[in-house]
Amino acid sequence: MEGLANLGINTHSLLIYIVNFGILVIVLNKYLFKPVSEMITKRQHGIQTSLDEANLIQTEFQKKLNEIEAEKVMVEKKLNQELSDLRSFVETKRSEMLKEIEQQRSEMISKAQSEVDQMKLDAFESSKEDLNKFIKAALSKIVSENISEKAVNDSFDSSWNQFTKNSK
Amino acid sequence: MIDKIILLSLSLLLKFLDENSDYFEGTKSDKKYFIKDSGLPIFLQLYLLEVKEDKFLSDLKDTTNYLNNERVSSNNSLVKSISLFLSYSLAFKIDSLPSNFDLKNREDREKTLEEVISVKTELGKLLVEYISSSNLQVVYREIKSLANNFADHKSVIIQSSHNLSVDLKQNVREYFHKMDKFCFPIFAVQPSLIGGLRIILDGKTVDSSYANMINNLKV
Repeated sequence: MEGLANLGINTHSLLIYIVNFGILVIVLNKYLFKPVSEMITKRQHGIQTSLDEANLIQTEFQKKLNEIEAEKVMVEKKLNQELSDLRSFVETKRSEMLKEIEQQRSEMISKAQSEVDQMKLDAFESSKEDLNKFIKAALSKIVSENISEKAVNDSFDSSWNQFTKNSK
Repeated sequence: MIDKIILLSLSLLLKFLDENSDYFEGTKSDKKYFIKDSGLPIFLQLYLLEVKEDKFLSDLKDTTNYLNNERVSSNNSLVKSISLFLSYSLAFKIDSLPSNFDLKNREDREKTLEEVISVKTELGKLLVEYISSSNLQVVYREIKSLANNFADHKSVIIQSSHNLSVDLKQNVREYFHKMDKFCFPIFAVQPSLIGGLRIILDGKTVDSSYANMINNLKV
């Protein structure tokens, strides 16, 4: 103690200073460091929570984004498939229609050809029939004008004999 | 006019039976003896030889009905005999008439008929009067109408381009008579046939005419 006093340090004051300091530390600790520390801890905790939420949101967003991306790919794939199907359907239909048109065309040509043939045949038959009628009329006239009475009477006998023979 | 022939036949029969009241009691040879000098037409003689008294009475009744309402029973032997006489014996005589018969005047027709039908009997006189006062188509039609009451073949038409010879007509009649006693062929002239015959038997046609042959020619 005398040493301290030699150095000019009052022990009593030192104690007071120490007590004062202790009181100050206690007061500061209670009214300043603790609330500030609590506030900082809270603040830190709030920031951490926000960061966690942000991370969670980011993760979920990424997940959604991946899902959307996957769905987009799938839709694109499906769309491409449908487009391909549609193209092949259109192609099939087109070839079918072409085939049908070709068939109809062939049928029309064939029908027209057969009508033309029939018209030709009718015209020919009509001429043939007219000629036939004319020849028969001429033949009837010639025969009726030139046939002898004897031939007529013979024809009656002959027809009658034929009838009786066939009737047996 | 057929009615008059039937009436005359009835009166001849009744007169005969009046003169021979016991005719139906006699045997067949007695009947032949009675009939021999009766002067009855052959068809009535044949009828009387075959018929018995009850059948005769039934025929008489049915014939009277026929004269009243033109309906005759298919087993009336008297009307059958008369029809047979008309459609066979008389038809043969009519067939032998010339083709221009219908064009002649009545006097000429009577003369022509008297050449083929004897007018010594009442029936002959009636037939000459009947045929000369009408035309052959009407006579044919009436005979056919009566015959059709008994015939199986109701319609036989022989068409030819010209009149057929008497012989051929008789051949035709004979042929159809053998087929059906009451069949009465009608002869018709169709100049358009040219030659040959067209025979229409109950609607079925057998056409061997020249016109048909020409028509069937393939040119």
